[in-house]
Amino acid sequence: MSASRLLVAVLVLGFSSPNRVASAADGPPASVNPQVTLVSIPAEKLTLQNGLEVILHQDKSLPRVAINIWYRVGPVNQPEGRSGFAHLFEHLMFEGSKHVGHQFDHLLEAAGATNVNGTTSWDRTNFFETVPSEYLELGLWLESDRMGFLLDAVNQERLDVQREVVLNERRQSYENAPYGASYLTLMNAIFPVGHPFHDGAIGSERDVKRATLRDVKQFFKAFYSPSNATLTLAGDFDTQRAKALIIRYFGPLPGQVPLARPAPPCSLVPEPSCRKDFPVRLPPPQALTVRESVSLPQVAVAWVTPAAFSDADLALDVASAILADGKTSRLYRTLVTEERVASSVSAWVDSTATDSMFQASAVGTAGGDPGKLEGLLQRELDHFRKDGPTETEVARAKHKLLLSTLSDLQNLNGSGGDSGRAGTLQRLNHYLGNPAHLQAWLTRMSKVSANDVHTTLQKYLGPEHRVLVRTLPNAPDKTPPAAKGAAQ
Amino acid sequence: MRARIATTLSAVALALLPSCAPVNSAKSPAQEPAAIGEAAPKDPAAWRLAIPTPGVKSTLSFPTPHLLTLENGLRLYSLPTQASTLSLSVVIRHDVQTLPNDKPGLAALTARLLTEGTTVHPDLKLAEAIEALGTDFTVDTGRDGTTISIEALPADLDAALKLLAEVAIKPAFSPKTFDRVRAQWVDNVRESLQDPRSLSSIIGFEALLGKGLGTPVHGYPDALLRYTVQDIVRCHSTVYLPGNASLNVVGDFDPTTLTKLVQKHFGEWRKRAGAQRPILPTLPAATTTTTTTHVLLLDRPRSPQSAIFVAHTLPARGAPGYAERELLVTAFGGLFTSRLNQNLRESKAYTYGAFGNYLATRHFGALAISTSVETKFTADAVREIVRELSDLGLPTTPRPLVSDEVDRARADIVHSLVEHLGHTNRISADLVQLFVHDLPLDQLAKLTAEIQAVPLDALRRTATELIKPTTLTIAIVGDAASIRPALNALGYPVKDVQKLGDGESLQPSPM
Repeated sequence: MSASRLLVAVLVLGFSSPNRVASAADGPPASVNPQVTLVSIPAEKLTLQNGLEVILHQDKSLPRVAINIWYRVGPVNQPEGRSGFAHLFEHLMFEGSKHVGHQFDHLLEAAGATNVNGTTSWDRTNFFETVPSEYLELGLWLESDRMGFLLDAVNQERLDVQREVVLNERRQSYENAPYGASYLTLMNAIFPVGHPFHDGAIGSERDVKRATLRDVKQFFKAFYSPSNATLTLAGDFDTQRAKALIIRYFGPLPGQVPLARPAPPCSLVPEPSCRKDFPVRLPPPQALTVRESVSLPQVAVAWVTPAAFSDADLALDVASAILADGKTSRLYRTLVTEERVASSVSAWVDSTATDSMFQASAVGTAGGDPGKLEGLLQRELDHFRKDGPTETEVARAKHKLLLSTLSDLQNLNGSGGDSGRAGTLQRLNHYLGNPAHLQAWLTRMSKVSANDVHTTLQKYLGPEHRVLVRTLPNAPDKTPPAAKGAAQ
Repeated sequence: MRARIATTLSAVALALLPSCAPVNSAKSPAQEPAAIGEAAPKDPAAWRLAIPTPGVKSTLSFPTPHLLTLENGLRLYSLPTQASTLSLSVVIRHDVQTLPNDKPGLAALTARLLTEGTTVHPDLKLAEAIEALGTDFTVDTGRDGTTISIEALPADLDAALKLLAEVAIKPAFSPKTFDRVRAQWVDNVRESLQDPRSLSSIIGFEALLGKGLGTPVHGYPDALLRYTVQDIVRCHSTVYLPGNASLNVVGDFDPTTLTKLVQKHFGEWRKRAGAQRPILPTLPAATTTTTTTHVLLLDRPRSPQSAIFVAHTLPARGAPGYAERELLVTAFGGLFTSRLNQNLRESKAYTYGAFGNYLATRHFGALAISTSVETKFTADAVREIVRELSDLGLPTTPRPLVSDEVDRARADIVHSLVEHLGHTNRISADLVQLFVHDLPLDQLAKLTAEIQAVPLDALRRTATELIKPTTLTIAIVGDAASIRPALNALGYPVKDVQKLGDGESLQPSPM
């Protein structure tokens, strides 16, 4: 699950010419604060006695309410030799609970719920659905039952079925998908054996096959409790009634001693408890080749970068937009338009509470020289790191990030549960400890300068820890494909 | 993340939200007194066995979009909301009747070139202008037309409309740019052909509908490389006409100001004599020569999964009974709990997900099922899909549709329409459909009422009438050596595919 570009936004609302945007980036104009107010998400946060955090954002413009629960658990918490387990466990959360039985999806669909899903990211797992307002209680009943009584319903048969479903998800998304094997190779190079992100959130086939019912029970008892979760409601509900329902359904669930939550990065919250250990596990420089069933080559370059919401993380979000968002971006202009060695380019940051990853990649052209593609991609990245961006580039990138943030915040629940208003509140709460930090975050974003981006590139995107994966087409089989099959 | 599929529906209008179907309680422990009685002493949380009853039913008045037809014939659909971003789009209708069907992908390539420079903002100047607004063009070509859309801040309404008008009316189509963009587009198409799931649907639709209707809208690489800039100019002059177009604006704007700005930027779009929006009759449902279920097999050596596509034709979007068809296909394959996904994923674990869609265009409709299954279960999965279709469609079926699954589909369709109102982009997409399919402004109210009103027995009759389990087109992309013997044993003719209809060679490299 990637951290979206929505992590960043700027305070340029109402400024539409590049020059005025640039001036906004040089120093906050007088009208900044009123503009930021336009993107606030009014919310109330409370904590139940059992430790469950509750965030309430009321908006009665549509008769629907988003229910969104984050558990502070992910691959970072997996036991040794159990890659992919946090994700496999997420699947089991839909397989039934003691009092609901095996009707979770049936009941929600009958009620008219939309966007019913769950996702597993590096340091959190979320579950969400958007229901008609009159079915809020149904949603809270369902979520509380699987938070408190999952183990009464999970059995070996359901584990075995979901294990096979997950292995098919792995095949569909990675093994049988263009550049999927290359992605896993990159992950394993940049996060070596022993790092909890090794083998990706999906995990290795071997480890997924090893998961036992005992693992499931231990994992649930360790991480799935009210004291390790945050429930967010966004939408049309009566606040007092919602609180009463939350207390009714979640209040009796036993809490545990709260687990240590990811400490915020020092660059963001200068307090004694912040992390000072970044970077912890930097890989050696590597260049790997993967052969796949593709016709177009691809080159991907990646680095380990600082944690979500750190100053460097915000600067790298701006950097990724400058590199590959739109036809004016550096990689698009050079590799696609001018040199014609690439058919598409991309760049993004996958941000986590601990180690993030910055990646830039380019898909080549049919019959093009993969070596030239690789050389030009590296040349552009080197130029970018050496010279940094212009203020105009930074201003344009921040303007794009603002617009995409505003657009996203129209939604109650985003498609991955980490965007839209409920998902944004959860992200702010998870990484910064406070859902009300939207304003502060946006203000910090507005101050990201060309120099900030340049400094960050210099510090973190150097050649000494760069991992490169080139994807080349497999050589065709000598036997004609159809004839080979027909001969069997 | 669990595999999901969005149920796509196209409509917006005014309606009162009808009641939700009651939740299915047939298997609930709460409905079984004996179970409660036994469990209560042991379980202090037995009160949780009771399914909560819904609160006061919510009602919603859907807003009515405004429609204004300019003097030049351009239709302006608009809907003011309080959203902090605007959604704007220009829609051009084109299809197999207005463009030559011997030029697959020409309309898509033409649309792609619109955003590569105008006579006012040549080449990169256009990108600089639109990206300075913090936004970019999104171009989408389908079987019924092309949509060019952007998001913008409300303060940028004037500038955004100006640029949107430019790309529709004044594209530069410079020969140098054409050469570069065509090559890039061809590579983008090649990239999509690397994906076994895309390939299976392309092969399947081509076999199902034949050349023209069944041709992929993005074209074939070999064909695209034959086009000239004159083809592009001709395509543009044929269909990019104000009487053949609509403009949609949704978000925070002043209606009077909007009308003035639209007149200012789009008023100069000259209509051409005799070239008003063509009155496109809805053709009868596409007919195919398919008389028996058959399998098309594309070898992708050592694939760990097989991408399976199963389809047959249905009536087109405009044919009477659209609501029944949408409800039928959603119940069968549109939901996570639909019998198709429950069987192939939750029961058999062959796949990460299996779903069916009703593809409804102006000229044809199709039931299209897609899934990717572990290689060793390929033939088993095909057998199960055919069995599910037989159980749905045969008059003597022991498993006809039941009310629970149909009510879940009703709830999903109706509430998804409400969900559309939560984002300007989704509202705008609904407005696109009003124009493309000549739908009334109160389409959503009508569709909502129709979906709620379809009786179960009528839906069962519709299933019997429309589902064709014995004349299926099945396309599979997978490891032929592994899956062929079991496929042959199913008894359907299996034909190897090596080229697409235009002679495009298909030779995926091995895994």
